[in-house]
Amino acid sequence: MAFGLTDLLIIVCTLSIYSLLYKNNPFSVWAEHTFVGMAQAYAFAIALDYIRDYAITPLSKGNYWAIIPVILGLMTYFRFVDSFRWLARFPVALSIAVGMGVSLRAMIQAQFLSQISATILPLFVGGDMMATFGNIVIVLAVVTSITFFYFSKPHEGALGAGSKIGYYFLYIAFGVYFGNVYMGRVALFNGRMGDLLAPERLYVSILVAAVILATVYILDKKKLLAKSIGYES
Amino acid sequence: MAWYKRREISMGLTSLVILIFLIDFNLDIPTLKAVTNNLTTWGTVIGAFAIGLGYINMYQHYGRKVQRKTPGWPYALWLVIATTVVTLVGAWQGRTGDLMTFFYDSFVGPLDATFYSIAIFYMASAAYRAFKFRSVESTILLTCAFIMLLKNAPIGEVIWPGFGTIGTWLMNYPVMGVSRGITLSTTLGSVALGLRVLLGKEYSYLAGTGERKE
Amino acid sequence: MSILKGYENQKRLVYIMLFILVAIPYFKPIGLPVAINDYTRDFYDTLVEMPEGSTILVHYGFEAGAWGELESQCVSVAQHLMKLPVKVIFCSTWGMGPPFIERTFDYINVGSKVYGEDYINIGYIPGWETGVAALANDFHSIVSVDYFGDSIDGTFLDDVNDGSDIDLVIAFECGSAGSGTFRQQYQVPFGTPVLSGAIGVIVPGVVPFYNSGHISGILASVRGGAEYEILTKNPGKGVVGTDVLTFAHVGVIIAVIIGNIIYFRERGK
Repeated sequence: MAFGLTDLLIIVCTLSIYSLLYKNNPFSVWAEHTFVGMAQAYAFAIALDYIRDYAITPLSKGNYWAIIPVILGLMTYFRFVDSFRWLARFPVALSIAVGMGVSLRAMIQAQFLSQISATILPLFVGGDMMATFGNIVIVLAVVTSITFFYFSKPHEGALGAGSKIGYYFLYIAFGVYFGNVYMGRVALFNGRMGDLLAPERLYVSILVAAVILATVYILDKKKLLAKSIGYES
Repeated sequence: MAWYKRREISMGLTSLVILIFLIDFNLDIPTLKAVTNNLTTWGTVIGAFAIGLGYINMYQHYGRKVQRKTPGWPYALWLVIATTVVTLVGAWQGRTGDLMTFFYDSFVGPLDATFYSIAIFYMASAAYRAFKFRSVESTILLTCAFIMLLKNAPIGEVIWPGFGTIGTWLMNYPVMGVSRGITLSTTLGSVALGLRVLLGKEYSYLAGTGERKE
Repeated sequence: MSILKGYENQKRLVYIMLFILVAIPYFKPIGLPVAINDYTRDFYDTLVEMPEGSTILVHYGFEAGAWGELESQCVSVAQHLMKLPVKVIFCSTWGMGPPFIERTFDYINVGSKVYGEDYINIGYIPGWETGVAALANDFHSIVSVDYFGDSIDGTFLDDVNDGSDIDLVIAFECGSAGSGTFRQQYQVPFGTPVLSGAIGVIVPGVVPFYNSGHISGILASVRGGAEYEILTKNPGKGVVGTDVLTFAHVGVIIAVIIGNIIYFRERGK
């Protein structure tokens, strides 16, 4: 595969961020600013496309109801105009209401009732000690972890005992969560290393890494790092 | 304050729309279904407009830095230039244009992925520093973390198949129970918040739309 | 040794160790066997048992930040879908999700499937859960063009009106608008089964719903992608990535053990 401008930029952007592991430096600050600006602009361009396809185009084809979300959407920007800030309440109110409406109505069944019914398990399964033990562990974990997060009363007596058991269950969960999260981050780092170590990019990656590291090291030794990233010493 | 500026009107609108959705979900009224379908579509269009708010805020913040030449202003200037160029190209070519694809493949995509991936280093160094077998709780946490790490990596089951068995049991029983407890708690909280918004007791979502206090 | 003194130096050694460990498999792969989890097997079985002509909605609920974890899942599942007698709708409620749908197609062979007749990319649906709800309640009110801006009239989407016309949802997720959203908007009102392809952080939160039967299968991070590649006999980046998991996980375990040894030695002094 031929090496092109995109490959070089991928290497520079990736290694600029990783140079943050040494210290904050001009490359990493440049990369941060590039990402913030371009990502926001890209999202805005996507939004413009959507407004054109689903509001402006239907309007031009005679669907005049489509003017309502356009007007409401434009009203959102009145929050920047002091005397008309109150106009921005209506689109916010409608978005919040629609969001809450669509999520609330199914949430109780999908997240609450279904999980409670799945927790109602037999605490003794004849002839299967593992299943019995497993069911007891599940019920205990659910009840005690909820107890741990109940802060309306002091954790004393039975409530205290329950929350203490929940506390230890939470530590088991945190350990397992760490294992899963670490696996995820390894996978992400693997993706980046795959991009850097691809055969057509390997030597350029090494060269760019050397240039970035050398520059940052020299700036650090000459005590110019803080000034170069805009921190007054 | 004029009556039309009162926040109670928008709070009432919120409650009315939430009620419409709840009634539509529980009763089969065709007219109401058409209303909720329209409202849902309008909600997505308003959401698309709202993306511009953060965009304008960003211009304000970094534009001020350039104007006042605060330390680090060249980076802010670069941000403003890059944002403007990408926006203009996006408006001209659309999101699937060649230049937009180039910007995404060369800058946004790699930077986004790298920002997330850098967390592995901080996790590893934090684990090195903080994970110590010095109490019952930390021993439990570390033991479960090690089991999970060895369960997820193929070498764990090569060393001892028990890592896979125990790891799977941990995920399916105690951790599943804790996750279920957390899900139930957060759902209860969300429903409570929704009820508060419905009853007009909660109006923090209207922050930033009131009169500025001098 | 002064290079080992102080947390700053030790931290940098950990970073260098990680770089080296993750790079090793690229030059010397080991290829250890990967056991298949029950969640992955159920994911595979659900797909294989879909009747001919079923319509499947595949949601890319992530952006570049999660592509490294979900790439192997997305590619192997998409390749498998192209071999099954089903129709597939690809979409995303994340603004920068749709380019990854197209990137998936760069890696797979669609075989005899025809764009517009057997599969389609409808691109970005804004509004997170609101967008998913709009898709479920009235498909054509929110989708009139595909990702490329071409009209969807005349495609197989003419027969898709609401959630009752979707036979299965596959939600690749890393947070917002994931399997939970599709359970609420598709499964509760329409009974549509939901499959989840999740990043590592999300998996413990999805397992309760798998356990209760509301999620029919889970692919867990890159490991799930590798397992699916093995099940579909299509080894790819997932299987290669498991070598990296081996080295990186053993590396952090060694780092923690060394940290403990140093801690207890200094405490003993």
